Amino acid sequence: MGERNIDAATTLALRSSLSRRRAMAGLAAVGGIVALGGFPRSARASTTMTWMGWQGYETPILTGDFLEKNDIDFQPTFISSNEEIITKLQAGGIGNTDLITMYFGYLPLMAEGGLLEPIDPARISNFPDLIPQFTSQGSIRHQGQLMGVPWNWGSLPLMYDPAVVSAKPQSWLDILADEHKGKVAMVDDPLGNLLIWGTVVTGKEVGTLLTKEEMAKVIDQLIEIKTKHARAFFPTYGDMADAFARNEVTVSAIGWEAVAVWAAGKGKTIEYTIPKEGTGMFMDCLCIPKDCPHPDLAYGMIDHIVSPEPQRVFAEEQSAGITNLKTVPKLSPALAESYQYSDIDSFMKRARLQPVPPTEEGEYATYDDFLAEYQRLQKA
Amino acid sequence: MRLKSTVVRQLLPLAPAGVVFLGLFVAPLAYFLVISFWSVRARIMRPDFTIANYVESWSRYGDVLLRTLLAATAIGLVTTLLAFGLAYAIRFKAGRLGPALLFVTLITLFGGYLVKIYAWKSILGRDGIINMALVGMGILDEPSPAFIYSTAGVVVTLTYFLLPFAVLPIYGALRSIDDATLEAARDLGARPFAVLRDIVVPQCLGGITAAFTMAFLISAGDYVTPRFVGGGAALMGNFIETQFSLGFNWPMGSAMSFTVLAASLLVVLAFRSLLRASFRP
Repeated sequence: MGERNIDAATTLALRSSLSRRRAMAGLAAVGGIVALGGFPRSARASTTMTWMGWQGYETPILTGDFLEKNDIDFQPTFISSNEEIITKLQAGGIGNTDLITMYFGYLPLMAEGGLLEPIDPARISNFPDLIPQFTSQGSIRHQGQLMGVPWNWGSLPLMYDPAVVSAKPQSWLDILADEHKGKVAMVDDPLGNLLIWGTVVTGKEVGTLLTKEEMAKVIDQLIEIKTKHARAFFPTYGDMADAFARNEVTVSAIGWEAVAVWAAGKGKTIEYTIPKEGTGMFMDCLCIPKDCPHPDLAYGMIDHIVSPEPQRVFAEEQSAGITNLKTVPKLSPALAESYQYSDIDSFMKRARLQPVPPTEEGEYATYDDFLAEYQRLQKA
Repeated sequence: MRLKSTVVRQLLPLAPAGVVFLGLFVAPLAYFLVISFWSVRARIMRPDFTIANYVESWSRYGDVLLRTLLAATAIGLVTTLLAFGLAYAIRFKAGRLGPALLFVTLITLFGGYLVKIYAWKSILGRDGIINMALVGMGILDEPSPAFIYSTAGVVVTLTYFLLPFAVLPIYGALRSIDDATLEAARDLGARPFAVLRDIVVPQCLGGITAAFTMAFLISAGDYVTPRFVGGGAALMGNFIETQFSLGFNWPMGSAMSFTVLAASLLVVLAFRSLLRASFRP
């Protein structure tokens, strides 16, 4: 948590519930399990609404009386990765899914692929209260139309084991020191890796908008880390936490605050910091899939999720970053401070929201170029 | 007319199974075969007839395909060899313990696939049983990182998972061997190895081929074990998965799948021919 004005123990305590949520999501990750049920189904509910997202993300939906008031039988499908939603929608989910939660970077691709309905912000009463730094992001719009409503966020810091690493790493390149050889943790998170190493390798603030040559250099660097420094290319962040807990790794080439909490749950203290080059940030959005069966209720559900009280409950229960400004004063001071709501601009200078590479040919390497290059890393 | 109705009466009971087979196996496979010749523009599948996806499957993923086939062949061979030994012991050596041994072998099927993967992660890890034992016995100075996050780890995990599947067909084939034949061979002076080579193995070639085929095909198509135990040792299945998700390219993913299928069939046919040539009765 390094540069944030909050001590490690407090932040870990604040985020302890997050570990439970993500640990459960990790279980889903293991098999791409579609976990249905677990929610009381009302025999008299007149409308069945289907939703796809991370386990724990349903908290705001279940908060308050939205479901009861609208006589809804809520049917969640829990995911193990954002990509799983894309696959499920393409494989028959279109026309059967009311609402999804998705990493904002994928919205342009999904919109181009015809997987999303445009959203009318005028139909969401809480939209004007959402943090403008998030709602103004270009990636959540496609051809001028809103495709997703931002509702929670976080960052990708460098994780390290303080029992082995005495001095806090100052740069991402510090992980390449000989002392960490064979003990670096990597995660197979395509965009996450690009968000961080695109900036580290090229020095550009936005690590995702690169020329083909720069993109190749970034992947070369990642290949070097994978082949010469990494313990493994872990499939999930949960596996990275396990590796820290088993003392198999000492530093990471990518991170997520939650990893420290999971490791703490296994009795291992892990710390994290945002190095001088900065890092990436994630922001999850609520999206309406194409041919949503209940669009009016989907709008109502979005409005409910981003309303102050469900946002507060979600933030406190899951120790997450939220987007409704009216919620911030209701948060516990420590939680609000950990996400620096008072100065989001400066936080976003160190942890940056970045778009996915463009889909059209031009100055920069496209998303397909990136995917082809990334597969070089997977092959290595 | 009567012949026609007899045929209908005979085929009618097969109809439910036929419908299930056609609907759940043939139709999806046919769909993926058709779209494997389609193309994708702006992330949307377009009906087309192009072999570009197949060309790219070989040109761009040829090295991964080779790695996949080699790993799957290794898993298939190791599994079949172990399964033959186990089935042979159950059939000919265990006596009254045979059924119990078979039960113990099959009971491992009740454990979930993913549970087994995680179990092997614990066994092969730095603080796993193997490392602890080797360090405890003084064979290693410190835990070795070599057992997990490698292709070897994938081979070990999949071999364990597939062993019961491979034991069954071999054991079934061994059961059908007449003890009198074996006794006659021994009475005529055949040594144990000659009995095994000239009588036992030739009579269960079908079971051995089935065991290898099952172990090989499941390994060649698996992408979960390499992800969790391979530590980045990506096989063909992982790249196919990428095409179906991040790549928005189902035609490419389908072409890659059929490429693996075709290459796998060649390997299985080669194994079958080799086996038959080596152990001709």
